This record gives sequence, C-alpha cells and structure tokens, in this order.
Amino acid sequence: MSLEKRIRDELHDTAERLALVPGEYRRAMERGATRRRQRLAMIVTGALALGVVVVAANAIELAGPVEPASDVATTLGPVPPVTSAPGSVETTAVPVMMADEIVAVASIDGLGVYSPGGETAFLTSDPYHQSISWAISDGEGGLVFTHEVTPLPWVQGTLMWLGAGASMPSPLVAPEGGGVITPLEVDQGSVFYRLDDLAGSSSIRAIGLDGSDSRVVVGPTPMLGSAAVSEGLLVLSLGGDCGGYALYDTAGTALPTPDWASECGPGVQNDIALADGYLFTLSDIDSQRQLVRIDLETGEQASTPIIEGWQVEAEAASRVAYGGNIIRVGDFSGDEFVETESYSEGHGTFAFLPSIHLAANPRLGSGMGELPCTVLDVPNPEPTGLPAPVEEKFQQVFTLAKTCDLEALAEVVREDGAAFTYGGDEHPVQTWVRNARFGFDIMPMTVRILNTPPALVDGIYAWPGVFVTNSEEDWQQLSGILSAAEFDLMYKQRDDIGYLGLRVGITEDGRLSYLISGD
Amino acid sequence: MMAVDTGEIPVVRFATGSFEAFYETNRQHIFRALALTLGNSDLAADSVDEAMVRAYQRWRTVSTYDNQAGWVYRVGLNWARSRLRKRKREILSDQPPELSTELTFSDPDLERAVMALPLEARSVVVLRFYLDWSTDEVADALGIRPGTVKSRLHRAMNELRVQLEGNP
Repeated sequence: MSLEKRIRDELHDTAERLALVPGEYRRAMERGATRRRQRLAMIVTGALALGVVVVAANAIELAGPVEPASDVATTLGPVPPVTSAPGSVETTAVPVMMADEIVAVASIDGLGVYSPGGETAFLTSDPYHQSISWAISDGEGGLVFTHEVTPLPWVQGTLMWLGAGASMPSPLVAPEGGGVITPLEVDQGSVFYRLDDLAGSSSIRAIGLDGSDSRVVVGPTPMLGSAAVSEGLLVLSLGGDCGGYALYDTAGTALPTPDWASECGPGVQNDIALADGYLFTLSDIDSQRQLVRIDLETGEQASTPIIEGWQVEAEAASRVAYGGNIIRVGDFSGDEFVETESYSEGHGTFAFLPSIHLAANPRLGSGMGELPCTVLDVPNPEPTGLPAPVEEKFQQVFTLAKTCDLEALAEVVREDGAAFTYGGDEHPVQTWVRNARFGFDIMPMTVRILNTPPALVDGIYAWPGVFVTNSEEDWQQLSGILSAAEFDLMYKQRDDIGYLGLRVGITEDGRLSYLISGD
Repeated sequence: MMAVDTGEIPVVRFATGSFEAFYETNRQHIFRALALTLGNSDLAADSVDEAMVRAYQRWRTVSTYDNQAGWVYRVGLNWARSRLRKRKREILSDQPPELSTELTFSDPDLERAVMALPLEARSVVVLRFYLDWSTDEVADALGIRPGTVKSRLHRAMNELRVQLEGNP
C-alpha cells in the first residue's frame, strides 16, 4: 500500500468515527445575533462607564492640526484604599481618570467609532478592514494591525499598516511558517512585533514602516509571557514559576537586570505595558485584581485595584487601559483619543489613537457618504444603439456607479422616483451603505450588470436582460458576474421565480425606473 | 416582465437561503477536517460552529468566494489557533487549562507521525487527502500560493515517510 493511500484511508476511517451533533443553521444565526447584541451592549456599556462625552460627527471631520484638549473632563471615581503589593512594598494610588472621548472598536466587523449613545460615526466594512484582531497606533494618525482572518491575497496573519491618508492597508510582514504576529508598538519609525511560531517559541522582531530594516530584536524565547516597547526600551515578562523580567534596548542588546526585575514580583506572568518610565502590569493582590505600576529605575511599586473603569493615567502623556489580562498604553499627549478594542472572546486588545488624526484618514471616515465603495477603473461602454434618452441615463448611472458617487446617484434616484429598496423610507445612500456593511457593494455590481445586454419590455430597458427574458442565453451572461453560489441558486430557481438579483431599469424616455434587488 | 412590487423581502434573500444549504452540506466535512488537523474534536466542534457563525454574518461576501468551505475551514483553524494561544497564556497565568479530547487513529504509528507534523503541514495533508481538494483549492483555503502547498505537502510526505518507513 502506498503511503498516500495509507494516509488517505486512515484519515477517512478516523473521520468517519467523528460524530458531530447535528446542527441547525438557525442556531448559528441566533448565535451570531446574540454576539452582535453582546458586542453592542459592550460598546454602549463601555462608553457609558467611561462617562464619555459625545464627539459630534462633524468634529470627527476635522483634519487640521490638533489642539491639545484643555478641558478634559476628569470626573474621577473614588480610588479605593491601596493595599500592599507583594514584598510589602509601600504603595501609592495610581489615579483613575476618565476623559472626553469617543470609542473606536476594532472588531470582526471592521473599525468603528462609536459615540456614547452607540451611534456609529463611521464603520469600515470592506474586506480589508474587517476582522481586525490587534491594532495599535502608528503614532501618526494611522493604524498597524492584524486581521483575525487576513483577506486574500495576503498570507494569514500578515501585519498591515494603514497610514494616515491611505485608502488601502499595506502589508508589512507575513508570519513565517504560519506563526502568529502581534503588533506591540511603533517606536522610532519601526514596528515592533511579537512572533509566536507554531513550534511554541516566541521572538521579538521589528520592521520599518516602509517595509525596510526587518530584523530580529530578541530571538526565540520560550515561556515569553508578554513584551512591551517604549522609547528605545524593550521589556519582556517571562513565564514559569518566577520568570521575572528581561530588559533590552530596541537594538536587541541585553541591559543589566535591575534587582526588582530578577525577583518574583507582580505580574510576571501577565501582559505588561510601558509608559513614562514605568512598567505596568496586572497582579492578584489580596485576592483582588490590581494594576501595578513599577518605576523602572527604582523598582518602587504602586498599585490600584481594578474597579469599573479601565483607564488609568500614567503621567502627563500616557494612559493605560486594561481588560482581562491585557493592558496597553496609549500616548495621547493631551489630545482626545480613541481606543480600539477587538471583540474576540475576551482577549481584547487596546490601542489608543488620536481621534482627530484617525478621522483625518479619508478611508476611516467622515460620514455616511464616504463609506467603503469599490471604485472601478473601467471605461464606459460604447454607445449601443439605445434611444438617446436611455443612452444618456445609462451612461450617467454607469459613471456614477463606477466612481462610487453615491450622493449624485441618490439624487438621480430621487429625481426620477426610482425604486431602490423594498422597505422603509431611508435615503438611498443609507440603503447602499447598509448593504455595503454586510458585504454587498452595490455600485460595482451595478457596473457589472450594466455591462450585460438589456431587454425591453413595457417601455423599460432592463439590465440584465435575463430579468425580462429568463432565457438560457441571458442566464449564461450572468455566470461570470454573479458569485457562483448566487448564480447556482438563482439558476436552479429560474423556472419558479426567475432572476431577482440586482437590476437596473430605464424607461424609454430616459428615467431611471429602478436600481434594486430582491422581490 | 416581472413587476417590481413592494414586498419586504430583504436584499439578502438569496444569500440566506444558500447559507442554509451550504451549512447543511458542509458543516460535518469541515468539522472532520478541522478535527483531523487539530487532533482535537472538541476544539474542532467549537471552531466549525464559530466559523459558521461568521460565514453567516457575512454570507453576502462569503457566498461570492469560489471555495466557501475553504474560507470556513480557514476561519475555524485561525480561531482554534487563537484559542490555543489563549490557552497557553492561561496556563502561564496559572489558570486551569481547558480539557481536550484527542483523536485516536486506528494506526497509532500513523497517528504519531501525522500529529508530529507542524500544524501548517498537517492542514495541507488533511485538505489534500481527506477532503481531496486540488492544490489550487487548498491554496485558496489556506491563503497561500499553490507552489507553497506543493512544497509543504512534499516536505510533509518526506517527513511521514521518514517516520513510518525510515527513509525519505
């Protein structure tokens, strides 16, 4: 028996013995709906807990230099009495504060900015910005992030950079051999990241934001608990019974280990963060989860219990956020800032971004009209012998669709009284944006549909013609336009319900009659 | 011509219907492939459900993919990796690890050899020999180039040959 056959037979035999409880797809839907509700509740609750002040959508549109926020609302919750840290180190309280802010959430659905009431200021929903698992600021108004599921053609887990003003993320580095990359910090123009390989060891690496100077900073390190980078300093927390901390400069040179770092201390098995000369970590002290601050020079420790809030001011220019076992530091220099948090079974990440800088990125939002729509760089069709009024409207709709000029197309819809939805009285742009958020980008589909031969019936030219004719020949025109799944489904049902996908109708006198799908 | 009426069927009508068919047809196969890849049926069951939820949430997009099952497998595998990574951290934090259910092959030598392969190689072997996917389909599912699939499979087979037959 050949090896291949032996493997094949064994895999099939083993698989046959695996029984999965019969599932109902409706249960999957319900789970999905529940998750969405939970996510929304989390967002709203989080925003309210922070005492967030709404930043109006028009404020987000500001693109100019950022004025330091002088009126940060520092409504403080009471700081409980400080308990003792391990080793009976005398501690002082780390002040907890809340500030004016909006909240950005990096999640399975993309990057969203939410006001305290839960309204979406913007949401990117194209595949390139969906399913964000980790995100950090690049310090200049952009994002460095990884996807939970990286869109093709990039390798799964590729570290991406969306620079300020960019409309598409750029791949920085892909995990070698299928490992997992987690961005740590952008420091001195380089992105520092952690690579966990599939063999179980971890290393710290760096790469320039321009893709140059890719390097290993600290080689494979077993039992690496966490890593943090700030201002030329790299600190690793090490697992094990009492792994302690290891310090390096960002060139990878090991630094002398301070006494405090070599002793069993708080949080050596948890995530850490650096800011303002302090190391922050989490520790269970007196049976209570606490945020611990360690002075890097002196080793002096302070701690504060974690209560409702999840932001702590480090010093003048930084804040710490924590969630579960994960803490992150943001450098906001007094500006308003937003946080990004991934939603994935509680292993969230936090990254702090100056909100106005973030919103200055045209891709990331300045209102509903600029939400993602795929612009197609294709020529308009040559005149096809349609009556002049029809031809004119056809070319107009084609142009507006391919350029994603949603507002102008909505105006055509409004003026012509065209049907664009089967429910509600919302603005056409809202309908198209809502569909885009769910992955149905109507504009490029409109372009593709308008590239098929039309058919005339009852004084209306209809694209695609199969909507009218239901002929085999016209169905085949759609085979490369619809997805295989959609085509198959509709084709199977062609005798019962015909074509009910996206279609465009223009009357003989040049009025847009419909731009709609469904029935 | 069919009239444009004013019903209230949402635009996702087709996608919803096709998801149900997709779910019923593929869930078991993908679960088994994930279980063989991960060596853990409990984790695979969670993974396939999680991936199916995500497929449902974005079916309008996923349904346009040539290899939808491949997408679900990939999502499930990545989700499982995340869980394994999180579990590793929990262990580091002295929290109790989750229970696992290991698979048992009828051929223990082959089981040892297959499970000794790196996850990336195992996934290629499973997709190629269990699901009988072509090189292109495996590449599409894993988000890697066909050439990479071939080289991973070649290395994996060499490794298995060494483990099982004592020669490359």
